[in-house]
Amino acid sequence: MTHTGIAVEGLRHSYGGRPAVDGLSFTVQKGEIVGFLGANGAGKTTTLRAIAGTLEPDAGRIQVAGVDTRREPLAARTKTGYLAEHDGLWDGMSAHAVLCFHGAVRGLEGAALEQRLAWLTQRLELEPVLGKRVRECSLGFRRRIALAAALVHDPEVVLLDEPTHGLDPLQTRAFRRLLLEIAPDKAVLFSTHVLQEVEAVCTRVLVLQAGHLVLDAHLADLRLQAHAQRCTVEDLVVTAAARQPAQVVAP
Amino acid sequence: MTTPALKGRASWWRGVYLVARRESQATLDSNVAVATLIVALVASIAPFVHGFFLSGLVDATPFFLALPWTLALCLAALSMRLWSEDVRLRTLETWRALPLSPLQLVLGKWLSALLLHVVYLLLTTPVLLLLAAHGPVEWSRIAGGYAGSLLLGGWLLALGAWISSTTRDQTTAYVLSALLALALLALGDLRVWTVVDGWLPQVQAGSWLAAHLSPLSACQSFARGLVGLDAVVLLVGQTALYLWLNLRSLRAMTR
Repeated sequence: MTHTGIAVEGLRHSYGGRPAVDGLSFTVQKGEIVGFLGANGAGKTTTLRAIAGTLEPDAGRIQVAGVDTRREPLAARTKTGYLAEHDGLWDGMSAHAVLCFHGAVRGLEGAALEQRLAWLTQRLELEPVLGKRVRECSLGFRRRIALAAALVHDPEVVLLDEPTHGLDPLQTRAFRRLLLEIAPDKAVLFSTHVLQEVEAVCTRVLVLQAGHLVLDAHLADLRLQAHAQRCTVEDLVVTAAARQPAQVVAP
Repeated sequence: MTTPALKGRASWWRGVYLVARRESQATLDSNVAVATLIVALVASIAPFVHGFFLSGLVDATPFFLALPWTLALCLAALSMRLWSEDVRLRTLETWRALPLSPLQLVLGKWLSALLLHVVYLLLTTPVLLLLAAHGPVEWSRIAGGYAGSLLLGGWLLALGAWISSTTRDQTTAYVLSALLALALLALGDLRVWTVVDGWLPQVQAGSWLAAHLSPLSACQSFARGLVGLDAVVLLVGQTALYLWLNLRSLRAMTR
C-alpha cells in the first residue's frame, strides 16, 4: 500500500497564548527530501516536534506513514526517526550503549541490531567513539551519534532539526551522502538555516514565517524561476521569508 | 544495506524493563546512589547495633520503627533525579520520541529506584544474622518489617518521582520530597495528630488524617509483625496515586 510520508493538516500550537504555528498544512511524499526553512521562531521546531510526537499540538491532524499521531502515537513513533535540535543524548552512557538502547526499544536485537549498528557506524564514521561516554565526545560526534540513534530502526519518516549544526565541512558532506543514500524509500523533512544545504540535497523547500507557510516549491522550479528573474534561489527564498503569510506560493 | 526485519518496538513489559535498566545504570553511574546507600545503612543500623551491644536488646522492632524516618530522608536522594535530570539535560524529548507510553516510562523509572531500595534492604540482613546468633527470633515480625519497608520504599519513591517531575532542579526536588514525606509520616504520630485534633475537636481532622493519609501507623503495624489488609491498601493505593500524578505531570510537560 502506498501512502504519504508526512501529512500535516491545520496544525496549530501556541505557547502562553502566542501562536507558534497557525493552521499549517503540507505533505511530504516518500522519496522526497524537503528542506524546512524560516527565521528563528518561525515555528519549524514546533512543527517537527509535533510530527515526532514529543509535543501535543493544540489542533490539527498529523499522519506519518499513514498512521495518525494522535490516535496511534506509539505506532507513529515506530515509523519516525527524529533528531532533536539539542541532541538529547544521555551523557553518562557510551555511544555504543546509546545506540543499543535505542535499537532495543525499537525491537531490534541480536544479529539484526549488530548489523544495523555496523552499517551506521561505518556511514557516520563513529568507530573512534563507540566505546567512549557521550560526555567525552566532541559536538560533531555527539550530533552523529544522535543521528545514528534516530536512524537505527530504519524509519520510514525522518525528521531532522538542524542536523549539520556542529559538523565540520567533511562531516557535512558525509551527512549529505548518507541522506541521499537513505532517501529513496523515506520521507525526509529537515530544518536548517543553511540554504546551500537545501540546494545540495533537497527536492523541495518549505518556508515558514510566523507559524505560516509562505513558500512551498520544488527546487527545480525555483532554479528555473531564479534563472528567468536573473537572481539566485537564495534571493527567492529570502523574499518569500519576508512575504506576508497570506501570499502563499504553491508548488 | 539490507534492512533487518523490524518489529517496530519492544513488547510492553520489555519496554518497562529497558527503561528500568537504563535508569539503574544512570543512577549507579552517579556517586549519589552509592553515597545514599552508605548513609542509609549507617543511619538505620547504627542505633540498632548500639542498643544491641549496650542494652543487650535482641529485637528488630526498633530498627523497623525508625526506618520510615531514615528512608524519608534517604530515598528522596534517589528519586530527585528521576525526571528533573531529564528536563535539565533536555533528554525528556528523547524519551517522548521513543515508542514507549508515558506509563512505561513512569513505571520503568520507579522500578529502577525501587530495585536500589531492595538492594539496600538486602544489605541490612546482617542485622537478622546478628539477632539469630544471640537468641530466638520472631521471624513473622522480621518478615512483616521487611514487607512494610518494601511497601514504604515504593510509596516514598512514587512520591519523590512525582515531585521530581514538577521541577528541573534536583535540590528542590530533594527538599520538597523529603519535607512532604516527613510531614505525611509525622501526621501519623500520636503527638502530632492529637494536637491537630485539638485545633478542631468537632472534626477530629488529626485522627482522620493519621488513619487515612499517613503511612506511619501502617509501617508501625508491619514492624510488629501485623500485616493488615488496610495497611497494604493504604500504602499501595497511595503509591498508585503518586504514580498517576507523575503520569499527569509527564503528559502536561508535552503541551
